[in-house]
Amino acid sequence: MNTEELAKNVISALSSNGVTEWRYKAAEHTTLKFKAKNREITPLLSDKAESLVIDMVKGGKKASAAVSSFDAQVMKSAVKKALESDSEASVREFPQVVPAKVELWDSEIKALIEDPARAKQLIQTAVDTIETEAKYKGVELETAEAYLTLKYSESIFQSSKNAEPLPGARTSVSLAVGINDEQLEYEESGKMLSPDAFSRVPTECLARVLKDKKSPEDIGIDRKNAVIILAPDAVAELLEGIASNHFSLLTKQQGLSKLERGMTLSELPITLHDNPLEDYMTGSYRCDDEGIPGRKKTLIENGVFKMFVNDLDTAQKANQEPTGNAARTGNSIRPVPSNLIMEPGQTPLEEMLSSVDKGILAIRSMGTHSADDVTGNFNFNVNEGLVIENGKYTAQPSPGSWVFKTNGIDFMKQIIEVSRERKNLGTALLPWIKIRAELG
Amino acid sequence: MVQEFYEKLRSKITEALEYAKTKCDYADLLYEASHRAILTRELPEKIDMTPYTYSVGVHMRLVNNNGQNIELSVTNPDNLKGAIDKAAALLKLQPEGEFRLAPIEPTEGHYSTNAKVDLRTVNMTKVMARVAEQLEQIARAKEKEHLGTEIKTDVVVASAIDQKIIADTDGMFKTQELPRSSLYCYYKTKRNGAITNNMESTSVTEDISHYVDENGTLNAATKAMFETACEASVQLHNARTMTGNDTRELDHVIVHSSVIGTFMHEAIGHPFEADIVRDGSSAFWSKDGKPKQDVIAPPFVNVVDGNVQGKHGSEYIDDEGNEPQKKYLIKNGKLNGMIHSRETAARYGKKPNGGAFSQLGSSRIPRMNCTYLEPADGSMTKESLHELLKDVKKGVILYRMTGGTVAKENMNVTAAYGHYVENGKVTGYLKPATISMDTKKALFDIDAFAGKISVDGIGHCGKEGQRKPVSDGGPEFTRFKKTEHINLTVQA
Repeated sequence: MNTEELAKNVISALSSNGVTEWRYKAAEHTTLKFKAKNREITPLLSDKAESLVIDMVKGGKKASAAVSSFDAQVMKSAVKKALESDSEASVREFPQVVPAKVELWDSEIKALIEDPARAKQLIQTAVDTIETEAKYKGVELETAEAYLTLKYSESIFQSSKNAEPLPGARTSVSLAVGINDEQLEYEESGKMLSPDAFSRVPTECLARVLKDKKSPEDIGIDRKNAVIILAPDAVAELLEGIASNHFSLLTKQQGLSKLERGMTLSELPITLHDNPLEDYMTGSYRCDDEGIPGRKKTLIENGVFKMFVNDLDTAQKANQEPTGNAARTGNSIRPVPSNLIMEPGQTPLEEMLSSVDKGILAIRSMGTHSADDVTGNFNFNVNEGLVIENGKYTAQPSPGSWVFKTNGIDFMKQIIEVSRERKNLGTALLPWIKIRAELG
Repeated sequence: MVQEFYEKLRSKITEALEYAKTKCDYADLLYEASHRAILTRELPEKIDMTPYTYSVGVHMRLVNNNGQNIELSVTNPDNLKGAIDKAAALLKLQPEGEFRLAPIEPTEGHYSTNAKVDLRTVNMTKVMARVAEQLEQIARAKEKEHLGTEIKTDVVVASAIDQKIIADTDGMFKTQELPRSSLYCYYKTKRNGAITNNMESTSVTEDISHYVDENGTLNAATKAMFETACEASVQLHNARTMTGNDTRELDHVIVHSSVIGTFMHEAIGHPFEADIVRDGSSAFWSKDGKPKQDVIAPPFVNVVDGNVQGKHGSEYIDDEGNEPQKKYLIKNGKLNGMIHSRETAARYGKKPNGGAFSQLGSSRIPRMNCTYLEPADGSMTKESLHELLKDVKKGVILYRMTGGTVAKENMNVTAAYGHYVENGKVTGYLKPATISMDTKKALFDIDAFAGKISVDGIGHCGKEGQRKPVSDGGPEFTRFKKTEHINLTVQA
């Protein structure tokens, strides 16, 4: 990426349109993906994908332009067109872009993208492991999938208060393995996965493939008061997919957050942090999308809600310091939590499982997009999970039969136990949680 | 201007394909560009207006006759040569195999729907702001009608022009240009400390004048649609929930066209996409393309995917240059055919049927356009909802889907609200409810329909990280016997 020329072109596009208050972020991404379906491995190379977003204030109005091109002419006409906007700007000055310190770059990932033969060997290991282990365990493979995505991005970020653009670079890797469409295991990080991940992840996924399928009726569970262990992935669905909207100061200012500072969310000592400064987590950043440095915050402490996350606009309205949580979603910037980190509990996972007579381990739902983001209500249809009888996993859930009523905020009141172990999901570090809920 | 745009790109594309031909036996290329204007309004004072965004993606496939293949994507066509070099190096590492693309005629053609209001040349900000204001006014009017109620709105108004070019090393060169417009409005209603939520969305493959007159005033049909949604948001305060035991006592579940549409999309459409079949993930077809079971629905049920003029998801050509055919996925209750790309068509010895789509530089994979349930004959269609409810003792009617998903045999659809039915009469509102079921058993319990077919359920279908505009539908109402196959969960 020719950062000098790019910065010059952006600033020229702005000045030729008479804009003096601005900020822009330009990034170039290179991705190498391998998709393995059964034994066929298909590579997809995405080379130098360009993205540029420019925010401007002119004459008290705000405007934004977004283009996936570094072409100087495209930039110039996009800025001109964006200035047709007549939206009032509440934030009229963009602060200087200031970075915090966090490790986001691993040269090994870039090296692998530049040596596809070596990268392909890694996914071949995953594919071979699925086949060998399945044979060894007598599992009939209906479908076997593996995805490996390696990515590096180089960027510059500058506001009219910065003399020079701030360079940035980050890497990421994710490995996902799916077996028989009912179980998925994955690992993602900003740092290259250890070589054993390419055999461990498929093995862990296979361990969850059981022959039998059982419904709640098959095990005679108490529907009104069922015991459910939420795997970290399921906890993430509730926190990231539903609760995070209520952690946002924008939702609060709209009068639509269920939360108040000082509100007790759980009688248990649940503590949840928002931390964009964890090295190599994929939700980490040096500064947010408005250039404010990231910092660690405690959202819930010992079961009590402590603070909302904000962006410049909502912070200004509430007369608060910005928390560094502005994220661009679609054409607007809004406050969004970064990595959600929950403190571990006291119960060993083994003990949590062995104490369940009849219940289910819920790993993933069919997706939280059908949740009601205002009330937080969600019918959790267990898509991936394991039925528990007498402290042991005995079957996979029958399709469509395990649906429990829950809520992205109120589930914290239903918590009985929190595990000592946690799982790193890339954008969250979360424990296993035992709750009681009503099955539909 | 438009012609000039395609001619300018044609030389770049031809040059790239000629260069690719020196590295492989065959290559094709898809160039996609999207020009958008969007307004979001979350608070009266938080209006984000983006009058112009431009995104572009190029997807190329390099294929050798021995089955070696590689895909590459870039956003800047000027970077193609370097990317082809990298991809060609990767192509050499690929094993020989059975990968083939079904042939396509090396023809040329231009397909388009003209936009009367073209965001590239017209300032859209005033019309978008006026539309947002009118959707807001609907809420203010409802507040007056229902005193003690406060209604917040989230509005999105979007307009787009999407362009694409498909070309290959055999000489095919096709272009398409389509306008798109969408309106979304969430109505979040507060009363006595409780909040309810309902939304309406509509999207068409036409410009924004589909919804407004020359002064930007919403037409009556559009306004009425959003008024109904806002009213439902208010009425949800009086809605009841049901326990698991309550739902097991129901004798029928009736679903509105937008809900049956999502049902068809999830339970039938996806398992009939030929790449899902190829990968062994279809509940209905074996990997070898043979039906796992011939009959999956009553004989009076057809399920169709294809174009419906002007509807969200309709296109003149797919992203490989083929015209989308009307595809009977289920005919008279029996498995009939799949949705194909050139790759899956070659694999199963079929002709491509225009079902391959991608999102800006991503892989071209089998996708749905407009999917709907079509009664095979009139024998099971009642004259009205009143007739359909006559023999329902305890039932529910579910309206407007908020989301659906399928994973092989497990599927679910969530409806934003419903009505409770007792002895043939609607007796009140029902809270949001989820139907979950085993896809293999999903359709057997359909026993009647009412009303005309409507394909107005809209969405952006996610698959392999890509999103595609789709629409779906069916008869205005479809009735299911409530058996143990249908699991209904009503939110607390």
